[in-house]
Amino acid sequence: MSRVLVVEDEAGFQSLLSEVLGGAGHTVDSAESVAEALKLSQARTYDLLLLDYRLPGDTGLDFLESFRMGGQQTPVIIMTAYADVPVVVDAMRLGAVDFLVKPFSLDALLPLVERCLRNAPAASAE
Amino acid sequence: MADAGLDHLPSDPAVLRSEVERLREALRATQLEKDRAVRMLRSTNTELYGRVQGQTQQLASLNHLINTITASLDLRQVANTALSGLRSLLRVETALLALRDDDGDTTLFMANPDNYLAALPQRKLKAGEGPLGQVIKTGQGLVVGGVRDSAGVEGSAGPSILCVPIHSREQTIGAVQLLNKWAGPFTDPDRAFVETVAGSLAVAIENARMYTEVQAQLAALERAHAQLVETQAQLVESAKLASIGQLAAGLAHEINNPIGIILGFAQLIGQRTEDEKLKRYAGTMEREAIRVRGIVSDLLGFARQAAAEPRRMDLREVLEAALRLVEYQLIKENVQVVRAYAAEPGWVMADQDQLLQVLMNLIQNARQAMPQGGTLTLRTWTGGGTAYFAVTDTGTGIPPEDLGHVFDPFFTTKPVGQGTGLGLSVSYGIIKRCGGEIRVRSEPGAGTTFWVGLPLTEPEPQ
Ligand SMILES: Nc1ncnc2c1ncn2[C@@H]1O[C@H](COP(=O)(O)OP(=O)(O)OP(=O)(O)O)[C@@H](O)[C@H]1O
Ligand SMILES: [Mg+2]
Repeated sequence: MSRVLVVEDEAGFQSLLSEVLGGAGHTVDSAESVAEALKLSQARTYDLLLLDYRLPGDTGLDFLESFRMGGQQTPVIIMTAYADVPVVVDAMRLGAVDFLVKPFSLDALLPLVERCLRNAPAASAE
Repeated sequence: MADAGLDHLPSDPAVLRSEVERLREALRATQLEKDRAVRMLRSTNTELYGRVQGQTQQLASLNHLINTITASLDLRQVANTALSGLRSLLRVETALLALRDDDGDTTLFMANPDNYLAALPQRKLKAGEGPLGQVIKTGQGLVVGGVRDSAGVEGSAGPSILCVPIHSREQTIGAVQLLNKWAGPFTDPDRAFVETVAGSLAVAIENARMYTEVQAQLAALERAHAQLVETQAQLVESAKLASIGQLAAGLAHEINNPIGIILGFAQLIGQRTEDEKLKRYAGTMEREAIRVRGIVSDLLGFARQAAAEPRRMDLREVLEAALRLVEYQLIKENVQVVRAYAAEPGWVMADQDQLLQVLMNLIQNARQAMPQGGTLTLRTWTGGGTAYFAVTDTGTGIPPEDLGHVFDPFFTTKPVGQGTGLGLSVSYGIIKRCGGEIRVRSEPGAGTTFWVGLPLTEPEPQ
């Protein structure tokens, strides 16, 4: 049982990811902006973050930078709308563990999530 | 008188007879003298008549020759006409022409075209070399083998040369040389004749040179104009591409999110439902979503304005990529797509995005020519070191009078807003830059085929 934070402003994606990850037995929290995501991630430690690149206002990369500066080691998967190589490279440099290109298939999502959770240090809280 | 004569008549009959004899003799001699004088007069008359005839004829030939020479604007033709004419009219072995070059000290060398010398490569003379060089240098005519007037004695054997300068605007621009007259040495009338021809040659040569200069300037102007048109087309092409690129990138963001959501939920439904029908519906949604994803990614690849990066590719694959972008739309518009690909790959070196652009332009034109639907056939084949593809439609066709203009920049028959008339000219430019060719064949009312040939390259190393 892991706790996953999904940072995504598209309601459709938000509910899709909650449904799929919840169905796989994970607890899912949602944030729609960088500010909200920072608040939630400071309140508790997550096992995994799914982070959209394009968010209203600051980008996912801005969040990732602040998040890592805060000392958080949680694995992060970045999601981009299409294979934007520079964005993916920057995200990996800032500590993202992997990336997903939208639109992605569920067959790609679940195995990737499981792999990241397996390799990650166990969340300290709970 | 008779009476007076009778006074002196000798009385001796014998003397009388001999006197009569003497008178008869004198009379006969006078008669002979007269006959000879008449004969001579006649022959002189005939000769004079002949000479006048000959001169008239020569004048006519000269006139004709001058007219022919000055009628042409082509230097080589001018020279050939003059030399052939001189050779046959003056009955000489060879007629030669030399012209002073721009640098002044070497000269161009030409012989009458029916002479073996004419077959030799054009040669430069050194300044002052040979009779021609000498005459050009001095500006004075030159005769070897003696000039005789028409009444003179028959000439001696040996080479005879008549060389005459060509003057134009107080300058010696060249010289004509006649070599070895068949019968006797050159005469003063010969020389006058050649000098007249040289005079008209001067005019003709000047004209030809001026014409060539004007032609060169015209050609340069035309080249400049063509370049301008091409630059303009390229500018519009890149502006068009840039805006398509921006549009496509923005579009990709907007489309990929909803498609991702549809794809995900379709898969979720398929996994979670036990209802076979629902499973099938979900499967269809999933497939269609994946297709849209393909279209968007092709569009992006197509619009990505990476500088031309030629790489090895199979024409059949490029055609397929283009079809992926438009096939759905074609089917919706009642256009049947026929693939007639060769069994073997058509390897070419090209920039995929640019080749896709050419195909999109051709397919787009075909679509627009078949508003009621029809058949679009894509063909590939190879032959003679070339890989070909063809796009054939069953549309309106192109009227013969337009056929020569379809590749012109800004040529369009489409209403404002529907066509800029750049699709084909841009495609033409792309194919030319790849070392290929693009052609069109059309039958009004039946349809149109555009085919493209590109240099075939080595197959992919295994
Ligand atoms: N397949 C075709 N069938 C009939 N006419 C054609 C076809 N392809 C080209 N043409 C004719 O050639 C003209 C020029 O084509 P081109 O693709 O260069 O410009 P366009 O289609 O008018 O505009 P653009 O491609 O810039 O949107 C067209 O307007 C049309 O008259
Ligand atoms: Mg067009």
